[in-house]
Amino acid sequence: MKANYQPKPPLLVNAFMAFYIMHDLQVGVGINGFQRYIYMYAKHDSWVSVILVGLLVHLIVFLILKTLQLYGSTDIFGVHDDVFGKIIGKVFNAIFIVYCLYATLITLINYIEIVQSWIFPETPIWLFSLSLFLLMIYGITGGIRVIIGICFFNVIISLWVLFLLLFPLKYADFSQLLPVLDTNPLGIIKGTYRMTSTVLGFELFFVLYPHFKEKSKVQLYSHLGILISTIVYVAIMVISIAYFSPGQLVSNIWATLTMFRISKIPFIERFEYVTIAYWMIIILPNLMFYMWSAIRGMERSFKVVEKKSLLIFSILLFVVSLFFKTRLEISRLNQLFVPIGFYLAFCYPILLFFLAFIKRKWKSNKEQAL
Amino acid sequence: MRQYKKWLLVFIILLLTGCAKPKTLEKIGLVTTKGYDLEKDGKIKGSLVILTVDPNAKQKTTIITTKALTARGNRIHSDVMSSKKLLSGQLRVVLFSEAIAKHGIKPFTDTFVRDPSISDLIYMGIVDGQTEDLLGIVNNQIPDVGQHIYKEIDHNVRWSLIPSSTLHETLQGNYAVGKDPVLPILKKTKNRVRISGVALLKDNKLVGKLNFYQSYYVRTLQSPLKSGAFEIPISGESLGLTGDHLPHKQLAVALDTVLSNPKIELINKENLEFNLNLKINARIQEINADIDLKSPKTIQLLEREIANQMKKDIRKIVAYCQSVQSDPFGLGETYRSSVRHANLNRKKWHKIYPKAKVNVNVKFTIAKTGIVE
Repeated sequence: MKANYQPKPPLLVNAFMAFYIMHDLQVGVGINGFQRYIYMYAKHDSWVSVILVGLLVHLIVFLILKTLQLYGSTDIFGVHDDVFGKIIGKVFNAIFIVYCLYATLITLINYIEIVQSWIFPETPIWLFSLSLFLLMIYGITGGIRVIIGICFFNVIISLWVLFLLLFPLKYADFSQLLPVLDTNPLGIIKGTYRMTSTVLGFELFFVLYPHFKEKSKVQLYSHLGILISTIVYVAIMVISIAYFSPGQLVSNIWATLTMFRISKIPFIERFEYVTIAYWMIIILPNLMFYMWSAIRGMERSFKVVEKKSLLIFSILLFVVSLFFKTRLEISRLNQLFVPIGFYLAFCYPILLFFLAFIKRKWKSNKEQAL
Repeated sequence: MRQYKKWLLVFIILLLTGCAKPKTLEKIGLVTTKGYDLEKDGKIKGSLVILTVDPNAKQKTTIITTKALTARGNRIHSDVMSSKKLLSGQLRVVLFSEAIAKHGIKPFTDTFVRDPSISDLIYMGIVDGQTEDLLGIVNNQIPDVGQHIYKEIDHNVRWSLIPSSTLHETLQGNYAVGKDPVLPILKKTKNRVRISGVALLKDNKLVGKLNFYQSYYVRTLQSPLKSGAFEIPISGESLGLTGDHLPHKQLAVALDTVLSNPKIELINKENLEFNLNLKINARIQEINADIDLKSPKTIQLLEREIANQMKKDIRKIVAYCQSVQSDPFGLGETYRSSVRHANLNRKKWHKIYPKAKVNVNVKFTIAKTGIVE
């Protein structure tokens, strides 16, 4: 496998799409109920944790793109191959593929749990799972441009959801945010750690990068995307702290949805039904991007035809998704994902950057010596 | 071949639509109000007011009363007494008898908040007497008692005559560190429903009651308001006035609040001392004595007179709330949000709250006297 990977021109998209992709990847199913985990540790200073995570993501994405720029046009699979050699590189690629599948599964199962808990308690899991997989396969066979297209429209037409945040303001008591920075720093850092799993998604730029046309502008647009998602997360966190009292926030599994449900519009009384159904459109690109990254890795690293691995992975994940039925099981699955996501998406890119940097330096020195 | 595959996909998706359980309006009974009483043997007596959708029905509502150990149990027992499947998506009001509220409403609020079909904006209330009697009011001026109670509470909350008591606010008060919720008290009076005051809660339990006159102050002290109306008795000595043309002889002013702004200040952290400042701008609507409102001096005297009376009333209410260890004004929230590293929790707050010193300051301004002077 060659480290450098240049997709054909029809598979390229403009760099400004990085903004939409980044925002969409970061805002997924986690936004419905991230508050309680952070609040447990950081209390009413949770919004500080959210800002810290935002800053951290800026740093990591900067390093991710710098790593890839060392090679001109490549993805994580090519970097692994170059840095670690053929065999160990393949092992790392396999880990990344498994991680992508895990992320797909988490998104899928958490969404299905929301629908089952809020709207259709009797409807079986396989039904939701199957319909989502059909949509996923349909989108992924269309290719990367179709997925990015869905993602673009998704961000544009989802803007109205933000207006729902105005309804809870009527019951908000902003004095609950005071005194500012009262929690001990350790609590805030623990909250930051828990928040990392919510903002995941940016690590897929490792795979998407070759598909951008103007590589020099990707950095700018992706940071803009991170900025917007961080603002959205901070806004939701601040309003949640003001709207709920501490005990409520800690016991509520889906605090954001609970806030949205008090919206009353003359022609529809229970707005959360619309929001939850609509959320499928929001998570669909996330599912597709993760799945696509996994099958991309299979093709790049193991030379498996895309369609074949898509079918195998879909069937595999579909079967696995049927086993997660209770809140306890799903909660355990999510808990396990927190350290994995943290180490793979937050710590590993830093390490990889230095390894790739040293390797490149060493190589060019050797070439010069010759 | 490709075309064929695409249509197959569409066909499969169409097949998936019939899998959720349908809920036909004619086949369900919409529960609009729930009331809970305590039976002598410790069981819960639940009364459900059910709205009938059938336009030909003579009675608009049905009431089913059952006995069970839990609130959900009442629903199950009611289901086997009803011709329709009962659903609580349209629930508007939940009432508790005083007896049951004294034992705590936590199990009830807990089951409501657990159920996604129940809105967070339903009103909670306490009934002076039996809720079954209140919901069973037969009065041809009230065709639907459930709707009647809901609208009665709703408009009074909107016009700030009573504190708002939605499920969300009740829970927020119950879980907050330095705040306790209040619920309106409803009473069956002359075959009608009357809001007779507010109930004070502490840790989900009913601990005290304030009358309707006092409930105005509770609402005014909770948050800034732009509406509200009240009648205040004053002594007319400084004005040289008595309501002598009336048999009652009590001088009183009826006022309409234009703007009220409460402010709680913590002035001493160690010995716990608060300043409770209240600014009210109001319109005079009626005064039951012959008085010249043209003279600025009279207005000033009247303002002072009313402010003094308010101070007295508020002091009395605060003292009563402290004696029952319930904090509806949120003094504890002020303490928590202005003292760093206070590590306040509910238990600690309820322990130190009764000993707090509260200074009441009222600044009352007569903004207008109507369209004549």
